[in-house]
Amino acid sequence: MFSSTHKKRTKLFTNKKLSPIALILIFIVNLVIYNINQENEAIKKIRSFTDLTPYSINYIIINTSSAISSFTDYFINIDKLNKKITQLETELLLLRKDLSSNNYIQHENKELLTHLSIKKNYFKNAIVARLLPINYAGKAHHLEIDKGLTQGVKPGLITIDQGGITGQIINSYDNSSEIQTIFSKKFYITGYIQNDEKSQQVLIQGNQNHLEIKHFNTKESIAIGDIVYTSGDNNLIPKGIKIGFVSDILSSEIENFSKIIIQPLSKPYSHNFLMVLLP
Amino acid sequence: MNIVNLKLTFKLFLLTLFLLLLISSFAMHLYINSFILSLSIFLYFSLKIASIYKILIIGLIVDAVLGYQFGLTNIAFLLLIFVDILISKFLSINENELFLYHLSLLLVGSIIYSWLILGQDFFTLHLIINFFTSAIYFILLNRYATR
Repeated sequence: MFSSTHKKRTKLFTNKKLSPIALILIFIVNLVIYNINQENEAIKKIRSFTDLTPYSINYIIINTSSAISSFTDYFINIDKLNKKITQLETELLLLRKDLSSNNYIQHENKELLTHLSIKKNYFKNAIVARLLPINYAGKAHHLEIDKGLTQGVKPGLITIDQGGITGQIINSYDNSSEIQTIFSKKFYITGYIQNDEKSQQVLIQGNQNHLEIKHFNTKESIAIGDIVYTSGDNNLIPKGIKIGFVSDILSSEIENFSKIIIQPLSKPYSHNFLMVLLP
Repeated sequence: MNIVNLKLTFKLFLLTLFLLLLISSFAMHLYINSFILSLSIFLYFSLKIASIYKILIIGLIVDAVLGYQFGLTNIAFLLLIFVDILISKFLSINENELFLYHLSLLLVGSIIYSWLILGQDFFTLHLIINFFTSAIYFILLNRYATR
Protein backbone atom coordinates (compact mmCIF):
# COMPACT_ATOMS: atom_id res chain seq x y z
CA MET A 1 0.00 0.00 0.00
CA PHE A 2 1.35 3.32 -0.98
CA SER A 3 1.66 5.86 1.71
CA SER A 4 3.04 9.31 1.62
CA THR A 5 4.22 11.53 4.43
CA HIS A 6 3.31 15.14 4.39
CA LYS A 7 6.18 17.28 5.54
CA LYS A 8 4.89 20.37 7.22
CA ARG A 9 7.11 23.32 6.46
CA THR A 10 7.16 25.90 9.21
CA LYS A 11 8.39 29.42 9.59
CA LEU A 12 11.09 29.73 12.19
CA PHE A 13 10.23 33.08 13.65
CA THR A 14 6.73 32.45 14.90
CA ASN A 15 6.02 35.46 17.11
CA LYS A 16 3.97 37.52 14.72
CA LYS A 17 2.70 40.00 17.30
CA LEU A 18 5.92 41.93 17.35
CA SER A 19 6.66 44.03 14.31
CA PRO A 20 10.25 44.23 13.02
CA ILE A 21 10.21 48.02 13.55
CA ALA A 22 9.36 47.60 17.25
CA LEU A 23 12.11 45.01 17.45
CA ILE A 24 14.62 47.40 15.93
CA LEU A 25 13.51 50.13 18.32
CA ILE A 26 13.94 47.81 21.30
CA PHE A 27 17.39 46.88 20.02
CA ILE A 28 18.41 50.52 19.67
CA VAL A 29 17.13 51.34 23.17
CA ASN A 30 19.02 48.35 24.52
CA LEU A 31 22.15 49.39 22.69
CA VAL A 32 21.85 52.88 24.16
CA ILE A 33 21.43 51.43 27.67
CA TYR A 34 24.46 49.22 27.09
CA ASN A 35 26.60 52.10 25.88
CA ILE A 36 25.68 54.84 28.34
CA ASN A 37 28.03 55.52 31.21
CA GLN A 38 26.93 53.12 33.89
CA GLU A 39 29.41 54.41 36.43
CA ASN A 40 27.10 57.08 37.83
CA GLU A 41 25.97 56.87 41.45
CA ALA A 42 22.33 55.83 40.84
CA ILE A 43 23.26 52.85 38.67
CA LYS A 44 26.10 51.95 41.04
CA LYS A 45 23.64 51.89 43.91
CA ILE A 46 21.25 49.65 41.97
CA ARG A 47 24.18 47.43 40.99
CA SER A 48 25.54 47.15 44.53
CA PHE A 49 22.02 46.34 45.76
CA THR A 50 21.25 43.70 43.12
CA ASP A 51 24.69 42.23 42.36
CA LEU A 52 24.69 38.80 43.94
CA THR A 53 27.84 37.44 42.30
CA PRO A 54 30.15 38.24 45.19
CA TYR A 55 27.49 36.74 47.42
CA SER A 56 27.08 33.55 45.44
CA ILE A 57 25.31 30.54 46.91
CA ASN A 58 28.37 29.44 48.87
CA TYR A 59 28.79 32.90 50.27
CA ILE A 60 25.09 33.20 51.06
CA ILE A 61 25.07 29.80 52.76
CA ILE A 62 28.22 30.60 54.75
CA ASN A 63 26.86 33.99 55.73
CA THR A 64 23.48 32.55 56.65
CA SER A 65 25.03 29.79 58.77
CA SER A 66 27.34 32.35 60.33
CA ALA A 67 24.37 34.60 61.07
CA ILE A 68 22.44 31.68 62.57
CA SER A 69 25.43 30.65 64.70
CA SER A 70 25.92 34.26 65.81
CA PHE A 71 22.25 34.45 66.64
CA THR A 72 22.45 31.21 68.65
CA ASP A 73 25.70 32.35 70.30
CA TYR A 74 23.98 35.58 71.27
CA PHE A 75 21.19 33.77 73.08
CA ILE A 76 23.54 31.22 74.64
CA ASN A 77 25.81 34.03 75.81
CA ILE A 78 22.87 36.04 77.12
CA ASP A 79 21.84 33.02 79.16
CA LYS A 80 25.42 32.49 80.36
CA LEU A 81 25.85 36.16 81.17
CA ASN A 82 22.59 36.25 83.08
CA LYS A 83 23.72 33.24 85.10
CA LYS A 84 27.08 34.90 85.67
CA ILE A 85 25.36 38.11 86.80
CA THR A 86 23.22 36.16 89.26
CA GLN A 87 26.30 34.32 90.52
CA LEU A 88 28.26 37.55 90.88
CA GLU A 89 25.38 39.23 92.66
CA THR A 90 25.23 36.33 95.11
CA GLU A 91 28.99 36.56 95.62
CA LEU A 92 28.70 40.31 96.11
CA LEU A 93 26.02 39.81 98.75
CA LEU A 94 28.17 37.24 100.53
CA LEU A 95 31.18 39.54 100.35
CA ARG A 96 29.14 42.44 101.70
CA LYS A 97 27.96 40.21 104.50
CA ASP A 98 31.58 39.18 105.17
CA LEU A 99 32.68 42.79 105.05
CA SER A 100 29.95 43.80 107.45
CA SER A 101 30.91 40.91 109.69
CA ASN A 102 34.58 41.92 109.45
CA ASN A 103 33.73 45.50 110.29
CA TYR A 104 31.75 44.32 113.26
CA ILE A 105 34.63 42.12 114.42
CA GLN A 106 37.08 44.98 113.86
CA HIS A 107 34.89 47.31 115.87
CA GLU A 108 34.51 44.68 118.56
CA ASN A 109 38.26 44.11 118.68
CA LYS A 110 38.90 47.80 118.99
CA GLU A 111 36.44 48.04 121.82
CA LEU A 112 37.87 44.99 123.51
CA LEU A 113 41.37 46.44 123.20
CA THR A 114 40.15 49.66 124.81
CA HIS A 115 38.60 47.75 127.66
CA LEU A 116 41.66 45.60 128.11
CA SER A 117 43.81 48.71 128.10
CA ILE A 118 41.59 50.31 130.78
CA LYS A 119 41.66 47.09 132.75
CA LYS A 120 45.44 46.90 132.49
CA ASN A 121 45.99 50.53 133.42
CA TYR A 122 43.30 51.20 136.00
CA PHE A 123 41.38 48.13 137.11
CA LYS A 124 43.66 45.17 137.52
CA ASN A 125 40.92 43.13 139.15
CA ALA A 126 38.26 43.75 136.48
CA ILE A 127 37.07 41.23 133.91
CA VAL A 128 35.86 42.01 130.43
CA ALA A 129 32.46 40.52 129.67
CA ARG A 130 30.67 40.27 126.37
CA LEU A 131 27.12 41.54 126.18
CA LEU A 132 24.70 38.85 125.09
CA PRO A 133 22.08 39.83 122.56
CA ILE A 134 19.34 38.39 124.76
CA ASN A 135 17.27 39.54 127.66
CA TYR A 136 15.55 36.60 129.30
CA ALA A 137 13.89 38.79 131.86
CA GLY A 138 12.34 40.93 129.16
CA LYS A 139 12.72 44.03 131.30
CA ALA A 140 13.64 47.50 130.15
CA HIS A 141 17.16 48.69 130.98
CA HIS A 142 18.43 45.20 131.64
CA LEU A 143 21.39 43.56 129.92
CA GLU A 144 22.92 40.10 129.94
CA ILE A 145 26.64 39.37 130.02
CA ASP A 146 28.51 36.13 129.45
CA LYS A 147 30.28 36.07 132.80
CA GLY A 148 28.74 34.66 135.91
CA LEU A 149 29.43 33.04 139.24
CA THR A 150 32.10 30.79 137.73
CA GLN A 151 34.15 33.86 136.86
CA GLY A 152 33.48 35.50 140.19
CA VAL A 153 30.71 37.81 139.06
CA LYS A 154 28.09 38.25 141.76
CA PRO A 155 25.15 40.60 142.40
CA GLY A 156 26.04 44.09 143.56
CA LEU A 157 29.14 44.49 141.40
CA ILE A 158 29.16 47.37 138.96
CA THR A 159 29.97 47.42 135.26
CA ILE A 160 31.82 50.24 133.58
CA ASP A 161 32.93 51.38 130.13
CA GLN A 162 35.52 53.99 129.22
CA GLY A 163 33.05 56.77 130.18
CA GLY A 164 32.11 55.54 133.60
CA ILE A 165 29.58 53.36 135.37
CA THR A 166 27.07 51.63 133.12
CA GLY A 167 25.08 49.49 135.51
CA GLN A 168 25.00 47.02 138.36
CA ILE A 169 24.81 43.23 138.47
CA ILE A 170 21.50 42.22 139.99
CA ASN A 171 21.44 38.48 139.27
CA SER A 172 24.25 36.03 138.63
CA TYR A 173 24.11 32.55 137.21
CA ASP A 174 26.86 30.07 136.48
CA ASN A 175 27.99 31.58 133.21
CA SER A 176 25.89 34.68 132.81
CA SER A 177 24.70 37.66 134.75
CA GLU A 178 21.94 40.20 134.55
CA ILE A 179 22.77 43.89 134.64
CA GLN A 180 20.48 46.71 135.61
CA THR A 181 21.63 49.74 133.68
CA ILE A 182 21.95 53.22 135.14
CA PHE A 183 18.79 54.28 133.29
CA SER A 184 16.58 51.89 135.25
CA LYS A 185 14.33 53.56 137.79
CA LYS A 186 15.34 50.84 140.25
CA PHE A 187 18.98 51.81 139.95
CA TYR A 188 20.28 53.61 143.03
CA ILE A 189 23.83 54.51 143.82
CA THR A 190 25.53 56.80 146.26
CA GLY A 191 27.92 59.36 144.86
CA TYR A 192 29.51 62.68 145.45
CA ILE A 193 29.63 65.83 143.46
CA GLN A 194 33.11 67.16 143.08
CA ASN A 195 33.46 70.87 142.68
CA ASP A 196 36.08 73.40 143.61
CA GLU A 197 34.91 73.91 147.16
CA LYS A 198 34.15 70.45 148.54
CA SER A 199 32.56 67.13 147.77
CA GLN A 200 28.88 66.61 148.51
CA GLN A 201 27.38 63.15 149.15
CA VAL A 202 24.21 62.45 147.17
CA LEU A 203 21.85 59.60 146.30
CA ILE A 204 21.46 59.15 142.60
CA GLN A 205 18.59 57.36 140.88
CA GLY A 206 18.16 56.27 137.30
CA ASN A 207 15.29 57.76 135.32
CA GLN A 208 14.82 56.45 131.74
CA ASN A 209 17.37 58.49 129.84
CA HIS A 210 19.27 60.26 132.56
CA LEU A 211 20.07 60.12 136.25
CA GLU A 212 18.77 62.45 138.87
CA ILE A 213 19.19 63.61 142.43
CA LYS A 214 15.67 64.13 143.66
CA HIS A 215 16.40 66.24 146.69
CA PHE A 216 19.47 68.38 146.74
CA ASN A 217 19.92 71.00 149.40
CA THR A 218 19.93 74.38 147.77
CA LYS A 219 22.33 75.66 150.39
CA GLU A 220 25.03 73.42 148.99
CA SER A 221 27.01 74.78 146.12
CA ILE A 222 26.52 73.11 142.77
CA ALA A 223 27.06 74.17 139.22
CA ILE A 224 26.16 72.79 135.85
CA GLY A 225 29.01 70.69 134.54
CA ASP A 226 30.12 69.36 137.92
CA ILE A 227 31.22 65.75 137.71
CA VAL A 228 29.50 63.12 139.85
CA TYR A 229 31.55 60.14 141.12
CA THR A 230 30.71 56.99 143.00
CA SER A 231 31.36 57.24 146.71
CA GLY A 232 31.92 53.49 147.01
CA ASP A 233 30.76 51.11 149.70
CA ASN A 234 34.15 49.71 150.72
CA ASN A 235 33.03 46.33 149.51
CA LEU A 236 31.67 45.84 145.98
CA ILE A 237 31.65 49.34 144.53
CA PRO A 238 34.94 51.18 144.32
CA LYS A 239 35.17 54.89 145.03
CA GLY A 240 35.77 57.53 142.38
CA ILE A 241 34.17 55.96 139.30
CA LYS A 242 32.61 58.62 137.08
CA ILE A 243 28.83 58.58 136.94
CA GLY A 244 28.00 61.72 134.96
CA PHE A 245 27.90 65.47 135.00
CA VAL A 246 25.29 67.94 136.23
CA SER A 247 23.31 69.03 133.23
CA ASP A 248 20.36 70.82 134.81
CA ILE A 249 19.20 72.14 138.17
CA LEU A 250 15.40 72.15 138.60
CA SER A 251 13.22 73.32 141.42
CA SER A 252 11.73 70.67 143.67
CA GLU A 253 8.29 70.44 145.37
CA ILE A 254 10.02 70.55 148.73
CA GLU A 255 11.22 73.89 149.87
CA ASN A 256 14.98 74.50 150.00
CA PHE A 257 15.61 71.52 147.82
CA SER A 258 16.21 71.27 144.11
CA LYS A 259 16.20 68.45 141.61
CA ILE A 260 19.48 67.78 139.83
CA ILE A 261 19.60 66.18 136.41
CA ILE A 262 22.75 64.21 135.68
CA GLN A 263 23.73 63.13 132.21
CA PRO A 264 25.74 59.90 132.36
CA LEU A 265 29.22 59.80 130.81
CA SER A 266 28.89 56.15 129.90
CA LYS A 267 26.88 54.62 127.05
CA PRO A 268 25.54 51.29 128.27
CA TYR A 269 23.75 50.44 125.03
CA SER A 270 26.48 51.17 122.53
CA HIS A 271 29.00 48.49 123.46
CA ASN A 272 29.70 44.87 122.82
CA PHE A 273 31.84 44.55 125.95
CA LEU A 274 31.63 45.89 129.44
CA MET A 275 34.01 45.61 132.34
CA VAL A 276 32.86 44.08 135.57
CA LEU A 277 34.78 45.44 138.52
CA LEU A 278 35.55 42.60 140.88
CA PRO A 279 36.12 43.44 144.55
CA MET B 1 -1.99 36.24 30.10
CA ASN B 2 -1.65 32.53 30.70
CA ILE B 3 -0.94 32.14 34.42
CA VAL B 4 0.40 28.59 33.96
CA ASN B 5 2.93 29.86 31.42
CA LEU B 6 3.89 32.70 33.71
CA LYS B 7 4.40 30.35 36.65
CA LEU B 8 6.50 27.98 34.54
CA THR B 9 8.56 30.90 33.20
CA PHE B 10 9.12 32.17 36.72
CA LYS B 11 10.08 28.74 38.08
CA LEU B 12 12.52 28.08 35.25
CA PHE B 13 14.03 31.53 35.66
CA LEU B 14 14.54 30.98 39.38
CA LEU B 15 16.06 27.56 38.72
CA THR B 16 18.47 29.05 36.19
CA LEU B 17 19.36 31.90 38.52
CA PHE B 18 20.05 29.44 41.30
CA LEU B 19 22.31 27.43 38.98
CA LEU B 20 24.10 30.62 37.92
CA LEU B 21 24.80 31.60 41.52
CA LEU B 22 25.82 28.04 42.34
CA ILE B 23 28.33 28.02 39.49
CA SER B 24 29.55 31.52 40.30
CA SER B 25 30.42 30.26 43.78
CA PHE B 26 33.07 28.09 42.11
CA ALA B 27 34.46 31.20 40.37
CA MET B 28 33.44 29.96 36.88
CA HIS B 29 32.07 33.28 35.70
CA LEU B 30 33.05 32.75 32.07
CA TYR B 31 30.48 30.06 31.38
CA ILE B 32 27.46 31.08 33.38
CA ASN B 33 25.84 32.99 30.50
CA SER B 34 25.27 29.79 28.60
CA PHE B 35 22.49 28.90 31.04
CA ILE B 36 20.55 32.10 30.48
CA LEU B 37 21.03 31.68 26.72
CA SER B 38 19.55 28.19 26.89
CA LEU B 39 16.67 29.40 29.01
CA SER B 40 15.86 32.27 26.63
CA ILE B 41 15.85 30.03 23.55
CA PHE B 42 13.83 27.41 25.38
CA LEU B 43 11.18 29.87 26.60
CA TYR B 44 10.96 31.97 23.43
CA PHE B 45 11.64 29.58 20.55
CA SER B 46 10.99 26.13 21.87
CA LEU B 47 8.06 26.42 24.31
CA LYS B 48 6.89 29.81 23.00
CA ILE B 49 5.49 30.72 26.40
CA ALA B 50 7.42 33.92 27.04
CA SER B 51 7.01 37.14 25.10
CA ILE B 52 10.05 39.16 24.11
CA TYR B 53 9.34 41.62 26.93
CA LYS B 54 9.58 38.90 29.55
CA ILE B 55 12.85 37.76 28.05
CA LEU B 56 14.13 41.35 28.10
CA ILE B 57 13.14 41.72 31.76
CA ILE B 58 14.84 38.44 32.58
CA GLY B 59 17.91 39.71 30.72
CA LEU B 60 18.00 42.91 32.77
CA ILE B 61 17.62 40.97 36.03
CA VAL B 62 20.42 38.61 35.02
CA ASP B 63 22.66 41.56 34.17
CA ALA B 64 21.93 43.10 37.59
CA VAL B 65 22.41 39.87 39.52
CA LEU B 66 25.63 38.88 37.77
CA GLY B 67 27.06 42.39 37.76
CA TYR B 68 27.27 42.78 33.96
CA GLN B 69 26.83 45.97 32.01
CA PHE B 70 23.07 46.56 31.77
CA GLY B 71 21.80 45.51 28.34
CA LEU B 72 24.51 42.93 27.59
CA THR B 73 22.32 39.83 27.83
CA ASN B 74 19.50 41.52 25.89
CA ILE B 75 21.82 42.58 23.08
CA ALA B 76 22.90 38.98 22.64
CA PHE B 77 19.33 37.78 22.63
CA LEU B 78 18.05 40.49 20.26
CA LEU B 79 20.91 39.71 17.88
CA LEU B 80 19.80 36.11 18.04
CA ILE B 81 16.25 37.14 17.07
CA PHE B 82 17.61 39.12 14.13
CA VAL B 83 19.55 36.08 13.05
CA ASP B 84 16.39 34.05 13.35
CA ILE B 85 14.40 36.55 11.26
CA LEU B 86 17.15 36.60 8.67
CA ILE B 87 17.28 32.83 8.41
CA SER B 88 13.49 32.57 8.27
CA LYS B 89 13.47 34.75 5.14
CA PHE B 90 15.52 32.23 3.23
CA LEU B 91 14.64 28.79 4.43
CA SER B 92 11.99 26.79 6.19
CA ILE B 93 12.35 23.50 8.02
CA ASN B 94 9.99 20.85 9.26
CA GLU B 95 9.08 20.33 12.92
CA ASN B 96 11.37 17.36 13.37
CA GLU B 97 14.33 19.54 12.58
CA LEU B 98 13.37 22.28 15.03
CA PHE B 99 15.49 20.88 17.84
CA LEU B 100 18.56 20.93 15.65
CA TYR B 101 17.72 24.44 14.55
CA HIS B 102 17.50 25.55 18.20
CA LEU B 103 20.87 23.97 18.87
CA SER B 104 22.28 25.93 15.95
CA LEU B 105 20.76 29.08 17.45
CA LEU B 106 22.52 28.17 20.70
CA LEU B 107 25.78 27.98 18.78
CA VAL B 108 25.17 31.43 17.25
CA GLY B 109 24.22 32.76 20.70
CA SER B 110 27.40 31.27 22.19
CA ILE B 111 29.45 32.97 19.47
CA ILE B 112 27.76 36.32 20.22
CA TYR B 113 28.27 35.92 23.98
CA SER B 114 31.85 34.80 23.64
CA TRP B 115 32.53 37.71 21.35
CA LEU B 116 30.74 40.25 23.61
CA ILE B 117 32.12 39.06 26.93
CA LEU B 118 35.31 37.17 26.45
CA GLY B 119 36.91 38.86 23.47
CA GLN B 120 39.67 37.27 21.40
CA ASP B 121 41.68 35.46 24.07
CA PHE B 122 40.97 31.72 24.09
CA PHE B 123 37.89 32.45 21.99
CA THR B 124 37.52 28.95 20.50
CA LEU B 125 38.01 27.19 23.80
CA HIS B 126 35.48 29.38 25.55
CA LEU B 127 33.07 29.06 22.65
CA ILE B 128 33.22 25.27 22.75
CA ILE B 129 32.74 25.13 26.51
CA ASN B 130 29.93 27.67 26.39
CA PHE B 131 28.16 25.88 23.58
CA PHE B 132 28.36 22.46 25.17
CA THR B 133 27.24 23.76 28.54
CA SER B 134 24.27 25.57 27.02
CA ALA B 135 23.40 22.61 24.83
CA ILE B 136 23.35 20.25 27.80
CA TYR B 137 21.15 22.63 29.77
CA PHE B 138 18.87 23.12 26.75
CA ILE B 139 18.48 19.36 26.27
CA LEU B 140 17.70 18.94 29.97
CA LEU B 141 15.13 21.73 29.78
CA ASN B 142 13.53 20.15 26.71
CA ARG B 143 13.37 16.81 28.43
CA TYR B 144 12.18 17.76 31.89
CA ALA B 145 10.76 21.30 31.88
CA THR B 146 7.31 20.71 30.45
CA ARG B 147 3.97 22.26 31.15
